[in-house]
Amino acid sequence: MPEPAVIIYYLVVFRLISQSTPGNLAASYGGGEVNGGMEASSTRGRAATFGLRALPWLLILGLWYAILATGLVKPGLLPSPWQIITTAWQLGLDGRLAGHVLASAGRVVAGVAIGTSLAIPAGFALGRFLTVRLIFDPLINFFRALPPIALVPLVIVYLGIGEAAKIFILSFAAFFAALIVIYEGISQIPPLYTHVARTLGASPSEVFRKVILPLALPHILTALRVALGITWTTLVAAELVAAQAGLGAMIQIAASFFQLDVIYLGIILIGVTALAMDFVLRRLSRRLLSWQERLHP
Amino acid sequence: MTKPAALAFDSVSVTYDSPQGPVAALTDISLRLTEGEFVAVVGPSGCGKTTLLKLAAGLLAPHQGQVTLDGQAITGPGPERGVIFQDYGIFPWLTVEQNIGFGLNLAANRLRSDEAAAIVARSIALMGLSGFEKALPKTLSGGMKQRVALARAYAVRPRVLLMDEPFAALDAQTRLAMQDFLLQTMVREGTTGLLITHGVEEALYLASRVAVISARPGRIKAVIDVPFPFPRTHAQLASQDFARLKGEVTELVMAEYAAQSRISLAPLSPLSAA
Repeated sequence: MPEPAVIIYYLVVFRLISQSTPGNLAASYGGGEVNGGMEASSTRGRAATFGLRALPWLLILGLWYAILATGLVKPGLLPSPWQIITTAWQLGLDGRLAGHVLASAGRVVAGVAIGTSLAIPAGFALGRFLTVRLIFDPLINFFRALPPIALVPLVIVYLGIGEAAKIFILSFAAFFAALIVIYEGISQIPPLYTHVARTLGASPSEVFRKVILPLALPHILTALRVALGITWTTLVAAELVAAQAGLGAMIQIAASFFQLDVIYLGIILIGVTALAMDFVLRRLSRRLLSWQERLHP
Repeated sequence: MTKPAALAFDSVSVTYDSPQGPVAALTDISLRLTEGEFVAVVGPSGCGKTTLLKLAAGLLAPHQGQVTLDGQAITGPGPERGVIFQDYGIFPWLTVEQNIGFGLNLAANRLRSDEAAAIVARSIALMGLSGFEKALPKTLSGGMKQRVALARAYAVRPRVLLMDEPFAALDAQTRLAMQDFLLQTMVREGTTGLLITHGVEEALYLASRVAVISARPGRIKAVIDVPFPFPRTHAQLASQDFARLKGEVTELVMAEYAAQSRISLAPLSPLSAA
């Protein structure tokens, strides 16, 4: 059984992470200054940060090979990382892989864009107006509880099996995920700031543009990140709607041919692409929200 | 210099809704501030002092009576009544100069952008904020935040300055320095002042009259003339006359504090002022 290895793995990772607050990190790897120690800005500090980031992946790889080596899983049922890389290489040569990644990423971006841009005005209306909240709150919670996958059969009936059906399902998922975050965020905006603006002479529309909007931005960015996560999760379901291209479709097709290496590759690529998108959003947040006081800058 | 305005509360009452039913916050308050006068309001916490300030700011409407500025009923917030809130409300996403210029760029007080820039530059110099024009609020100390709030309120040339416990969050030395700074600014700009505070000494040092508010429902229990001439100095705080007056007022406030403590402090749910 692999449990002991897993436990040791988590213990090691947890220990490393808990010891690696930025201060400790710089103190143990970076420069020797006492004051400058808080920022891991030295080259060695940055290398250490990178090392810590890479560590869990290396450990996963190690664990993977360890499982293969022990023979706990039959070789036919678990491809080696190297096998997956060669499969990626072969599929990548004729452009099929890039096509799958782009098809999925495109759908996710479209779903998140449509869903979030609808959720922003809806979230504002819910967060600011009690009447709107009273009318729509139960409705929203009803629809929010529905797993987007449950909509697939109906969506096929009404929208067919084309791209529109998939985008609809992804937008649905993104909309409700983003809506809750934006709505909660907007309703928590402290009245102090709107009071200040009004006593300086701001009109209602100026209060909205100059105070509510900037204060809502952090929540909108969080909503985008949450929506992105949910939408990737829903992707495979959306691509069950008779998709020819896309990572979900690739996994589906590979499953019917029992191509485990392709299935693993598909899963890894979903994770990597989602990670890349989240990385971009996080960089964007950091730039746009540099005014925030944060625990972890 | 702007022309200071007369602020008057005429038989004002305010009732809040609470889960236990309506709660009277202020009852039959009448208080008149003449042009350029500085009045401080002291009272136990929970007595409705902040409600009084919200009424004058136009963020809350009285249920009975009316609040007037130069005889005109106050119906909403307006730039002629500047407010310094307890937590200042410095916009965290704007720099110091953007915060100070916020009011100047609103349609209600729209100025040509070079005029606005000149006012901002002048008040940054006056408030001792030079070098921090582009600083974000998260990098400022409490005293500096308060100066930004003061500069922002004065940029739109208010005729009345309303202050809600403006010195509560400051350390002792910064508080004394800011009190003098405030007095100088108010004299220079020519404003009527209403200060809400729980500090008796602060009230006596800054104001020409001090109103003591009773325990809930808040009424005006006494209005005390402060006989010391302006400009006042911190050394005067040690004089016997000052100490005697401070003792008298403190006694009044403490009697109300005891009364307020006996009132079971049912959590209030103030009506949204929006």
